[in-house]
Amino acid sequence: MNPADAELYDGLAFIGAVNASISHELKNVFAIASETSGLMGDLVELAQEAAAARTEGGGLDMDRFAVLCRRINEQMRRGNGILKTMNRFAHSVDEPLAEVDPADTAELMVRLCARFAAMRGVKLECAAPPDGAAARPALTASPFDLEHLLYRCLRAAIAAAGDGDTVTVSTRPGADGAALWTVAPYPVGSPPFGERTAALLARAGAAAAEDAAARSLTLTLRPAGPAAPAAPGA
Amino acid sequence: MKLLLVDDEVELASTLAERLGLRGFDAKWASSGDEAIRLAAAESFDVAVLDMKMPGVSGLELKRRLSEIAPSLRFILITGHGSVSDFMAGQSDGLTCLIKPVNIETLTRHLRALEQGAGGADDPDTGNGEHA
Repeated sequence: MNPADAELYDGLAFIGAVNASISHELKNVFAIASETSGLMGDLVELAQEAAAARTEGGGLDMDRFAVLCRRINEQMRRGNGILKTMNRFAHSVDEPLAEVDPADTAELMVRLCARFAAMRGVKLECAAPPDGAAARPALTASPFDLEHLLYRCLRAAIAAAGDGDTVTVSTRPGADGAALWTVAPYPVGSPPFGERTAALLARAGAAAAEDAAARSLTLTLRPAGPAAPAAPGA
Repeated sequence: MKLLLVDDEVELASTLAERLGLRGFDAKWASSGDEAIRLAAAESFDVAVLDMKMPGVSGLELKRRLSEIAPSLRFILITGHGSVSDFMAGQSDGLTCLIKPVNIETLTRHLRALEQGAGGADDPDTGNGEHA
C-alpha cells in the first residue's frame, strides 16, 4: 500500500471503528426500548385476558406502566445524545482547517471512546479544564486530524490500562498559541507511534513527548498556517 | 426450563427475563460475566443466552467458562454488532446466533426447540429481517 492509500485507509478505519462502536450503543438503546414496549404489550394482553375471563387481580398496574414509560423516554434521550455526538463527529471533515477548541475535541473523543474503554473495564474521563477563558486554548487546525491523533493515543492508553483503571485527558494552553493534551496513564516506551501515527503527527503539526516518571504522554498542538491554495486542476 | 440471560445492559437483561417469565420460562439474569459464573456455580440452568460483546469478557469466552462449570448447559448468542466474524464464530461452534434487537417470539421458538432436544429452530432467520 502506498503512503497516500495507507493514510486514507487509516482515516477510514478510524471512522469505521467509531461507527461500529456507536451503532452497537444505538442497538442497545433500540433493544431496551423494544423490549420495554414489548413488556408493556404483554402486560396489556394479560390484563385483557383477565378482564375477558373476569378473573381477579388482572388490572393494569399504572405505577409499573409509568416506570416503563420513563424507561423508554430515558432511552430516547440516550439515543439522542449518541446521535448528537455522532453528528458532531461526522461534521469534523466539513473543513480541512477550522477553529478548534482542543478541550471540546477531547470531550468528544472521550465520549466516542468510552465504549472501547468500558469493554476493557477502563474508565475514560476529561480532567476539568482550569478556570478562565485564557486557560481554554483555541487554534486553527484540521479537526479530523486532531481527533484521529487523540483517538490513537487513547486507544494505546486503554489497551495498556488495567481493569478498574481511569485514563484521563487534560487540556491546557502551551507557549506561542499552542495547546497541550496530556493522556495519563500512558504506556511510555511502547511503540504506538509507528510510521502512520508519526505521519499523522506531522500533518497535524503536533509533537509528542512521553514522561516516564508521570507515565503520561503530552501532545503539543500548534496552530496551522494558512491553507495552501489548491493546485490548478486539483 | 431454566434460563440464564447475560447482558451488560441491565434493563435489557431484566426486561427480557421478565418477558420470558411470562412465557413460562424460569429466567434469571446477570449483567456481567463474573455474575453469570457465580449464578451458574450456585444453581443449574438449561440454556444460557449470552450477549456476544460485554465488558471484560466476550460471549464466546464466557460460553467456554460456563461450559466448564456446567457441561450440559446449552447456549444462544446474541450480537448487536451484525459483524460477520462474530456471527460466523458463533455459528461455526454450532450455536444459535441472533441479532439485536431480538424478536421475543423468535427467541422463544429457539428456546422451545432446545427444550425439545433439537439443536435450535430450523429457521435461520434472525427474527428481525436482518442478517449478519
